[in-house]
Amino acid sequence: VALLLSELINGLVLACMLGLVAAGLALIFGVVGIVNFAHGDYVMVGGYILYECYAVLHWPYLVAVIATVAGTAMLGAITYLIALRHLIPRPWHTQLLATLALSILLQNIAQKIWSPSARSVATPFTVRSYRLGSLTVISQQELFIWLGTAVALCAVWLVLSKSKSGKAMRAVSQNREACTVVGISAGRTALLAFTIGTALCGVAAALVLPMQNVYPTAGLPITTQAFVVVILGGMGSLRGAVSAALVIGLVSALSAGYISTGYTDAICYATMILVLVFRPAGLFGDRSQVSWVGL
Amino acid sequence: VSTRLDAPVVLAPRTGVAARRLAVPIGLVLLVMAGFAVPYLVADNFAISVLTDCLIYVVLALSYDLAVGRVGALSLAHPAFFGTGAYAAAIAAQRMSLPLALQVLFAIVTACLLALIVGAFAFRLSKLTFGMATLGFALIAQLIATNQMSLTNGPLCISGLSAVGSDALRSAGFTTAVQSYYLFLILAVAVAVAVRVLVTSRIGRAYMAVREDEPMAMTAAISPLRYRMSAFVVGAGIAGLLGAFYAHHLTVVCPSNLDMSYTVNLLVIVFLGGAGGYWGIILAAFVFTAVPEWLEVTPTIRMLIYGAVLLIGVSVMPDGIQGAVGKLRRRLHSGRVGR
Repeated sequence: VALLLSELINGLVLACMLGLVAAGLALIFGVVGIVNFAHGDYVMVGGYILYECYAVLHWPYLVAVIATVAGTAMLGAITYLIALRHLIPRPWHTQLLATLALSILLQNIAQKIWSPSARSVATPFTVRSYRLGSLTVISQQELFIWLGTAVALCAVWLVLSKSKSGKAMRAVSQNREACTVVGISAGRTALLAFTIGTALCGVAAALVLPMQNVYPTAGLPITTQAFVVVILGGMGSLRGAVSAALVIGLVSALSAGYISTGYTDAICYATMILVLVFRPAGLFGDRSQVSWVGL
Repeated sequence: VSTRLDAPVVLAPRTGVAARRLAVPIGLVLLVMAGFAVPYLVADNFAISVLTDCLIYVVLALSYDLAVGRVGALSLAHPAFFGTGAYAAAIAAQRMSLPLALQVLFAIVTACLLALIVGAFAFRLSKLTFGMATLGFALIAQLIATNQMSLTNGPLCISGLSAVGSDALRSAGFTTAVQSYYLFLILAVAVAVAVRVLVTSRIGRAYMAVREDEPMAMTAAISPLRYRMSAFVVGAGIAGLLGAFYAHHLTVVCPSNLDMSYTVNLLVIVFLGGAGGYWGIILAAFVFTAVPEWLEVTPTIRMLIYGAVLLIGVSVMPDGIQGAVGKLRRRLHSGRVGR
């Protein structure tokens, strides 16, 4: 029971991180129309920003978190304006190649600045924990992760469903041309969506880093996992991304606990492939859009 | 938004058709002669080994392009087939002590079978999810190679394979590096010729039809799935064949032989060379393998330059070198005719 409980908690923590990253990825795919293979690298950069703010400059944790989110969002906006903006009308293999190039650039810039060795940020919250009887149940940091994820995702949901620019984002994801006709600036909306997507990476980095390390190549596995989640949930569907993150988080934690840690990722990929075989559009995707001719 | 991996159709100028038809074989023969002369002109072992790597990438890229460029199926699983071939040959050599010819056959069959299984799953999906599903298979293959100790020896690698070449030739003054170079030169030429024959045959035209217009291909009684699958499996078979020889070239096989970095290099070579092309890919295989080796800077700086060049290259030449050259030639040509 103790193992099951701790694996469930681990799974939920992983699900939170994946949910945040994948929600950003799905938003960028849906609204901006870019397949972003550099997505995980924004999490990596966010981790280093938190490290600088918290461990080097000794800012309070909350301030450091806000700085991380703002910094990642700014980096996202800058890279979007410089490079990624031009990729929107291109076919997806060009986007894949260009964002891979961006990923290589970000990785090696990080390596130049912070060296290849892993950095970690120890907050006091990781050791403070709540107990149930004799067994340690949950640390404060894990509670923060759940809370922060809930707040961030609710905020995104509120923005998308209530605010005018959020509605514009959803409209652009449905029909770009029609939006331009009624006077919605597709460019500005895409910039906003990309910034929010990368800000979510910042949130994920700021929340999860205290439990993990950051190193220059940390982004790539996050990117592939986020893609697994987004595809499992159905491309461009936020609801799908969040629920698929839950599935993948729990599957990987349980398989790490009960089967083998070496095959955790393999089981996640196999889950994705199996789901795709039976539901080619993913869990929440639009079935009618699946054909070889389309995306 | 166009989602096709279409290379522009370059119409040959009417003049000099015979000369153009001869240009490819003559170019090939000249290149091959130059290739055979290299070890006599260059005594530098490092240069020879870099050129060997270039030839390996020529074979990998041409076989990869069968799926990616010819039928427009952006697979990310190619290094998995390459690595599977290497592992199959190594296991056949050490566990079953088969002779080299049977090892190579075993490697090809294993890679083809794996491709058939992967294709049976992945070709049911759309283009983008096809890419991700093949990526999933590639990552699973690498995890199996790392973790299945009893089969692959895991991160300890399978080592002690016999080196390429024969002792008789070694005593005649051909070093192992030179013998490897010749082996991969012959392999590259054979694969280049075979791919050329395949893509200019009826099958190659069927590939193009499937890539360009699937419904139209179906009305011409061309089964898209069958042709896509055949391109995918043939490409995997060539990769498996190459993997078998590569295992003996390095004399060890490690999980890193299935690494994603191969995919990145191949994507760069195929798309900057020009997907669905020929000369552009061969040229790109040489340029993108050799130039990073000769840039004498730290790996970090090298990768920074690589990333920047890639980002700019993709933005400036969306159809690759071959596409850019074709565009330039058409512009020059239309300029001349227009006057």
